[in-house]
Amino acid sequence: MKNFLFIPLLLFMLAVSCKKEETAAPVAVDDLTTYPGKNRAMVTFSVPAGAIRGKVFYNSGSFKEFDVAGPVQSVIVDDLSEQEHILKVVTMNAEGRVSNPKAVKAKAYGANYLGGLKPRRWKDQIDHSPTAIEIVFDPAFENETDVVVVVFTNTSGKKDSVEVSAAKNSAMLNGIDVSQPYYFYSRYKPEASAIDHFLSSNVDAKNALMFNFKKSGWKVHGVSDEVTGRSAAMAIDNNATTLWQSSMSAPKPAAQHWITIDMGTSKVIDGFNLLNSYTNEKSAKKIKVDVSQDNATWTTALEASLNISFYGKCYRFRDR
Amino acid sequence: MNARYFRITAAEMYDDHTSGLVFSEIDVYNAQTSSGDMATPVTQTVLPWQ
Repeated sequence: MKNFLFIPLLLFMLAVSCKKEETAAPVAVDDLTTYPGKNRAMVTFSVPAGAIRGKVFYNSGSFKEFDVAGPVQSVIVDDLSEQEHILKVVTMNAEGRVSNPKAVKAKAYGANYLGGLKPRRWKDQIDHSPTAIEIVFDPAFENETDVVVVVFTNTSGKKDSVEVSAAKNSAMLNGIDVSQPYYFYSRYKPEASAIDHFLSSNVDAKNALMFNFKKSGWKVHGVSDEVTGRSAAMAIDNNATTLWQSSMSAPKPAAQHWITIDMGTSKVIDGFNLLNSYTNEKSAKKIKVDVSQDNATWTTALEASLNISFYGKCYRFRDR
Repeated sequence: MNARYFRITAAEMYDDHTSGLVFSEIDVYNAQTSSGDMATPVTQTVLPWQ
């Protein structure tokens, strides 16, 4: 009789004991936050008590599994198209009991965003010494919140770089080997919290210098003759009211009239804009333009007639 | 064409004694940064890709 009562009691106690060992599922994650990236996004959240692993669901059924690494968990979800996504996070305890999901919107950026990014506009280059130059930029674009990165080779032959914040408009490159290429690009972040940078296309700064046609660095390298008060420098002084005039009175000058300009550095040129001041026969009838990289080897680039009435005209090399 | 130096020479004169070269401004023309014939000096820098 004793045994008859003891066995059911034992079974009941065992059942109660087993029920006590079962744990509840973790609560839903807390502090769920997303950070956009390049075709990916990161989520962070506070891990609920008891959770040891979990999943982040995205794209209608795809998921990324993770093992809990601490009280605050970060998970990066890759392969996201460039749009807003809904990410759902669940965690599990050791018994596999699953928390309720918690969802959050996450944005991923991609080729579309990247395609709209422009490098900062190059404005000028100032040569401080043979190994120190300053590249001057236009002000940052409105959406340009990160930096411009200028990459160059230093005089030791190693790659170096300088970063220019959006608030600044110039970069000093000290110890640069200007015989090597140097270039820059703008680094963007679509949002301050983004986990990835997006880089604009590169701009060859050395090549940019060849398109700098400002005449502040030009010099008259030589001139056949000039009359008093109308010096050769006045032909390149950015002042249309001053002029260079060669001698026009008898006796005829011993040499041809000519002027040689040094533009300081090599430029990509397709012709010249010549602004004349006289509309009568005091102008030459024909001109010849020779060009040179080194002031030693010269190539005739243009031969053109000057109309008596011309005041200003563009002469292109293709017009030869 | 790339060049650092250029030289403009009077190749033929209307009159050897009274004609010469008279330029109030000389500017470089670049097809990528300019459009059309320009009679006025171009002093600004406009890169082809900007």
